[in-house]
Amino acid sequence: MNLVEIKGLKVSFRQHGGEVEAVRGIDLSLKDGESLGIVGESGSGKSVTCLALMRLLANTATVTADKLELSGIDVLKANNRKMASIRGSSAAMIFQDPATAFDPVFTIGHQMVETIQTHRGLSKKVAMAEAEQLLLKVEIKNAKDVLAYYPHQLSGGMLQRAMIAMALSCRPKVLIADEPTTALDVTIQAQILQLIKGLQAEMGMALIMITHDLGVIAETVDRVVVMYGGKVMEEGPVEQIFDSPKHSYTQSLLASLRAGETRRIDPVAPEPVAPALELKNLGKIYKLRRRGRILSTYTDFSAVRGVNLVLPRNKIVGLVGESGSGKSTTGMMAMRLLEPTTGRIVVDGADVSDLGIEALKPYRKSMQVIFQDSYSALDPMMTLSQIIAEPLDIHQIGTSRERLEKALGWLERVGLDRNFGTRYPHELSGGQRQRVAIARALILGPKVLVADEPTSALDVTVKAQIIGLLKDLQTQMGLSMLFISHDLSVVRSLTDTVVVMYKGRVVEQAPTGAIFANPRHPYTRALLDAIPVTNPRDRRIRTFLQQSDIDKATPHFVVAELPGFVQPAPEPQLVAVAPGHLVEAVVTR
Amino acid sequence: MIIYLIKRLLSIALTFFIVSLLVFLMMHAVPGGPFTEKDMPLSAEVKAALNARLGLDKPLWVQYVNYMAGVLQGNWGVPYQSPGETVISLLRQAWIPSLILGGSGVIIGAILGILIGMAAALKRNTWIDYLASALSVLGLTIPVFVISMMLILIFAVWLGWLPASGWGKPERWILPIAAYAAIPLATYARYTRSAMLDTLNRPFVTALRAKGLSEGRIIFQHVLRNSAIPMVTVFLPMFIGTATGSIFVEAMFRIPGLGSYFVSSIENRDYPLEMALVLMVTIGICFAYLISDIAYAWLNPRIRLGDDTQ
Repeated sequence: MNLVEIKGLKVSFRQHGGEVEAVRGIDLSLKDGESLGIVGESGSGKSVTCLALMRLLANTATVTADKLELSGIDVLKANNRKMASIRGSSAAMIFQDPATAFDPVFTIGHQMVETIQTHRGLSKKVAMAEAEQLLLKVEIKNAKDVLAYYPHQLSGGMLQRAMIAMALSCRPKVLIADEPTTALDVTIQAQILQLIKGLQAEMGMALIMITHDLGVIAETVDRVVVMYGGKVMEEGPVEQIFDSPKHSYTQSLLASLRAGETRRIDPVAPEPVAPALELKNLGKIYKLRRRGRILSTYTDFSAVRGVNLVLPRNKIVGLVGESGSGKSTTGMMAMRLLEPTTGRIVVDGADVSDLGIEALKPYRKSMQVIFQDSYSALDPMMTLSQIIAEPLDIHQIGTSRERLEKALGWLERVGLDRNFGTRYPHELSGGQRQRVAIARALILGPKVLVADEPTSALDVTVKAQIIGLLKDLQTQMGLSMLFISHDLSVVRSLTDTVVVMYKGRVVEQAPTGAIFANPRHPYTRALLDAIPVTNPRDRRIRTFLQQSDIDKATPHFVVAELPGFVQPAPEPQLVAVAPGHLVEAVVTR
Repeated sequence: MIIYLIKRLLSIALTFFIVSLLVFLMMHAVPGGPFTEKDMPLSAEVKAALNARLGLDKPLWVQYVNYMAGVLQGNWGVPYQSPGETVISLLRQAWIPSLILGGSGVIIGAILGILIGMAAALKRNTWIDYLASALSVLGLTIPVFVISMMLILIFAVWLGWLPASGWGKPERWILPIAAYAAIPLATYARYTRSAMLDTLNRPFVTALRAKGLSEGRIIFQHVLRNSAIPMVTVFLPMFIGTATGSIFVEAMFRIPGLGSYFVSSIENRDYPLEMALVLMVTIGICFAYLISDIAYAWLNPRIRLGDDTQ
């Protein structure tokens, strides 16, 4: 008997405009201990399928199937009590964003104990001890403390570990992981995936891995189902899907995954003219408030410390790092959207660091920005043509007729139809909205563009299109672009130079090829090592560095080893190890 | 926390003085005075003697300072309309009916409102939801005196089940409590419905279901607790709000509570009583908000423990 048996599953949702079909007749099965990946973009029906299997869909959903069984129980016919008893014990789920998957007002311990007691009738004390063991199992070292924590006191990676521990508490036959690493940093993602894989083998569970990321699939599963538009496009062993994809949709998914592997070989020519953007010793200090019993004390937190960065004309520089590394803060300061605490910002040879709002206005024309979340970056009450033309209004360029005409022209230039001009942002998909944001940023013909994670909210195929568009426009317009991202595969295909930030500092900077071929700083290596493989045959066991390991492994040079003259110092400093390749290192005599 | 409390208490003291000053000035800005009736005119000498005895002949600012000095020492003065008592002793008796009726009204209204709101949220877009919405709109839009009148008409006049008015026996309390309960019930039904719907849509509810918890446990423990946090903040202020609501309810049901004194103190230019009533409501509201804010922080671990994620 198969653990999961799905035949002819159809799911549709009642909406204002009628029925929307989310899943259109799919077959799926899963054996004990097997690991299955379901891959597809948002709206492909992959999550809906699993929620239907657990009978967790909202009551606006209509579910029909010839067969829908979970460990031998007919999910369509079982009563509520029966369903509740198999949820968590036959099949457990972990979710995309661990921060929202825990109830914020109860402790981790309470929520784990409640799960254990529901299914296993243990006393509270025994259940608590069991919860502690589970937390240790998912490699949370201070398990006893964590039990007493509320969800907001833990980081995303720790929360996802706790979520996994909770899912394992009733020894489920299958673990359903719904995009379990999408909300996490790339280094954390690699750790969580390895943890899931290890636990699956150890406990002999089956695994369903739902994801839009083929890299995650390549890392974790044996068999793959590719979904698109509510249908199964292709199914087979993971090697077969990666080596000889039959369906054109799978081929395009793979193409966008592997686009990152082709290396651009651009000679690094010396820069004769002033760079488009130059950041000198840029720093940002936030005052952190710590509540005391009587008085609050303030401590300084350096989000960015002493960043020097040069963005040459016509080039794309990638700014990489995990969340909290200060990369977005640096980007926003470079655009004078956030006030730096120290340092200078030079745009096209002109120092704009101290200019007031009015004095800065003419420079704004040449500095533009694209944000990560296109939805909140566009005014929902304005039409697309108004949004795109607004920069022209602000700088009073042309008549209103010319402005409209120019805006419509830009719509076409970013690959949208002219008649989209009268639509509103909510009528567009994420990718289309990001195109509008790009048009708005470029309509003034800026010299410098800061793109802050412009593709991280997008599906993989759409992501490739947006990257392609940015690349084309950059070439056509001679733009200089600072591309902020945590996605190394995108950075690899797009940028000329990569700057790696860690804890507010630049730790390595080099031509893109050199960074990927010869990373010198331990953090860069950790970052590169965490990238999911693009072929299941390259799977390997990874070792992860703790922060202390990274600090310990900081490169060490003696003066004589380095080209040029370097002053020895006890503190780490950025030194050139090759032309254009800088790395943070300790230099001694 | 202590700093926070001190700050809040200082701001309450400031509010208290601003309100006292404003009310004092407004009260005296109205033409006429306590002894200017047309029906029974007093002679000029008697009036002057009375004014002198009550200190009403002094400049306004002296009157204000004298009054506030008294208040700070716990001396709220003597009501002009019954000179044999003090303001405190008069109000001490008047509080009781208002507190019993208003308090029970708010508590019963809140409990019923929460239940109705929960039912509406759980049975969203069914007749239960629509009925609950209609009920809460009616409760909030129909003035309390109209509701009181309808209650009297239906239960006392037509059905003859309950007495129409008065004070004393418990069966006389039922209709005024029902009238008092209308606004809290409507408010809580609306609050609860939207807070519950909000919480039900959060991803952790799906996660709880996926863990295999029973629906009852999910609703009553997790969803209700999360929704209750914002609802706590409206309870105490509403409780104090009944003091002013009593003006209409107690007039309709002829109850010897605070409500009638609000009206009579203004009509008779009974300055000490008028000031005392307004200031007591002011202090009540201020402390109700302070306590609600503390309760809110205590119930919400994010605020209680601070945000450590930075």
